[in-house]
Amino acid sequence: MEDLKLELKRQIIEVLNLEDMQPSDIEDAAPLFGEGLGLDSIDALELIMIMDKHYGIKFSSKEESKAALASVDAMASYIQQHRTK
Amino acid sequence: MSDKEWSGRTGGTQGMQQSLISIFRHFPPWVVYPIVWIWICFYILFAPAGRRGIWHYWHHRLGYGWWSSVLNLYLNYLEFGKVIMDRFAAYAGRKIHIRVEGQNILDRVMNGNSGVIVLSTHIGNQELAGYSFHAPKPMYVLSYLGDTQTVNENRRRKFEQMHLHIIPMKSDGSHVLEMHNALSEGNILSVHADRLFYNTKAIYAPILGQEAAYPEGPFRIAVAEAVPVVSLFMMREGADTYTLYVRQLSDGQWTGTSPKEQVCTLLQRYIAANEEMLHKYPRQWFHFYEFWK
Repeated sequence: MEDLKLELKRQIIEVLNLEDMQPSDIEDAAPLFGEGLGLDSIDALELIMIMDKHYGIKFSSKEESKAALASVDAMASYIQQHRTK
Repeated sequence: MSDKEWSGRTGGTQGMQQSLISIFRHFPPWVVYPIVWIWICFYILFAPAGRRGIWHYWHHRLGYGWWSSVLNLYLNYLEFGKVIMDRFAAYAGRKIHIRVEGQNILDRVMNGNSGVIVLSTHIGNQELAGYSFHAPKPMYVLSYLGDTQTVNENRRRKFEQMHLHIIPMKSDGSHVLEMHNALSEGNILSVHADRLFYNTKAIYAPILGQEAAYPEGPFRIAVAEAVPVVSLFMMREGADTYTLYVRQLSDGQWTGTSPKEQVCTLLQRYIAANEEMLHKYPRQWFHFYEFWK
């Protein structure tokens, strides 16, 4: 699980071009949107693409994607349960 | 609302819009042109933000003299009035004659297995482009639904006839999931790329010699999804007659540069296609607010 979280943090930094950040700067439970990393809706699309391309996860509803992308903890937990890759 | 934002609403009351549709079921659009000649004077006189925006375009960006800019300001509004009448004529089911320039691009890009992004624009009759373009696969249109009920209902009905699907734009950005799903299933996605809605992030690039703000989202989505990107320009030639110009902006293969640079490159190509159309059809610039910084 810890390896998966580290992998996710590296992917988030890479696709969102967060050049000044290290994986250790992103807290596992911190919200990715709003007060946390402050990501926006287009950043959400990039996270949706990470879930799709790397883990074979397609979301069918916005509520589902919102909950799954709330934090690194939420992403890792969702991937463990639903990954097809 | 500031001068730099657009209300997203078509002018006139719902009753007036419904009356136009009824008229165009029996008569061609030119029968109402005398009303349009007078009607647009009210817009020019009593909508200063729009007037300032069009004046800036003609006088400062295209470099026309004072009197020439005044004349072209009026003619620009008049062209817009005719384009709006053509749109209501389309709602009424009237036939529009269209010549396509770039059919080979359409055939190649639209018949592939990959999803396709259409970056649309407010130059020419962009809504008519959607109705007249017979896509070989499902087309999804990200749409701002802040217009009047008459326009929204007729737009929805025309979309259904053309097998177009609306993805409503939401202030919380939740429409991005539907956009991704549409593209990942190999469909066409049409997005406005020259208007800022809901305080979206802006990127800046020069058009006609001065920097302007564009929404970052459509360009970032196009680069992230790595799908072919085209722009469609439906330019009015005369009563009931249009030319549809197809311009390919990307084949979706981005290599060797960072995503940030790719977004800038795509924006520059989009602007170059816009400028090409503006040089050919300068009076079909339909941004009735202060577009430049």
